[in-house]
Amino acid sequence: MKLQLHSFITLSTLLLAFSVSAEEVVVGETNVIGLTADKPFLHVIHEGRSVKVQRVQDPDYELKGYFAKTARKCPPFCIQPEHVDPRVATIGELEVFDFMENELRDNKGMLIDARTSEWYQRGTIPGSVNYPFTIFSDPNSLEMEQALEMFGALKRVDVGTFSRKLEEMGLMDGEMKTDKWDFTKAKKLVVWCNGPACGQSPRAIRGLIKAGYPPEKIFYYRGGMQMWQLWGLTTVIPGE
Amino acid sequence: MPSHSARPNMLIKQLFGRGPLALLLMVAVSFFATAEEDPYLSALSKEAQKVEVEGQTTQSESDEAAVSEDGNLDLQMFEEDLKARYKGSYTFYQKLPRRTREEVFVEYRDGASIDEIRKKIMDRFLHQ
Repeated sequence: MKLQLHSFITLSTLLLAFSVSAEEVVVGETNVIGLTADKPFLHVIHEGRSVKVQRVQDPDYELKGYFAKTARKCPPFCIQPEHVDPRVATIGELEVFDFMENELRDNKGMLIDARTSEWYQRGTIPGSVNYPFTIFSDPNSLEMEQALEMFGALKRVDVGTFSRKLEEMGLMDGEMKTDKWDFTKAKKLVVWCNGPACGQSPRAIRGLIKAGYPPEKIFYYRGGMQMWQLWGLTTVIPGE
Repeated sequence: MPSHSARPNMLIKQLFGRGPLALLLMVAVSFFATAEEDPYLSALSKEAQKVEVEGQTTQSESDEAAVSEDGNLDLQMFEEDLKARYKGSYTFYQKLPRRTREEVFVEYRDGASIDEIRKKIMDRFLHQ
């Protein structure tokens, strides 16, 4: 009888220990605050080095500082519409992650921080390059031309009026082409700024469309820096 | 008496006649005029000063940190991704020795495109 009781206690202790350790493993696993349910983090190249993009793992994390502030003078810092242009898709964080892992990695897309350099210097989304919206205000400026070339647009030379007319009429391949630019091989762009109350990226997008950039190759990440930080996602200080 | 439309031309001629000083003055005037013309830019600039560079920015992790802390998890993710998206390449990848697989992964982590990675896998597989 004594032996049976002893065996029972030992067995119970073992079972208890097993269940506790099993629970710990499960809790440990669920404690990871991932980017998505099946993606804890991702890597992106920023200024030539690999940066790990993940969320802050502290479950009590609260956004503090400038981007926690919700009230700003309007105008000029007014809430922006969901869509900049009906032809430009507005995207969220998951689409940005996907873009980072595919288009950015395969050099088929660029993540554009459209804020002025003062903002960029104070922190940016990894993988972004800074093209302030002011560059895109004049379609004929040298800065605009250089930017478009960096985005993969090809400058067209000596396009005859007749050829252009045929292109416009659809008799020649004129899709994604203007008098000055051929955007056939232009990269996809995700353009962002400070968040839903920021007008910098909408201005950049309007400027790009005005220059002829195909709207279907432009994506507006409206959440911008504010939403990025709200989710506790990694940011980088340029040059560090 | 010069005509009304000829006046600006005369003014420019007079200014240029006075040499580089006048030119400098014109540049300065145009600079201040531009800054004044765009209140949005000055509001943005003022607002940017309020952003704290430290404290609200989560720090990025360099390559080394990522490898030492979560290297295995990274590798696992890469392999799962390869398996899901490029089954053929994954089959060849599996047949590579461990060191070569690690080499492929490091290249992926350092930003090589997936096409380059797939080429590398084939290359390493064919030249084992």
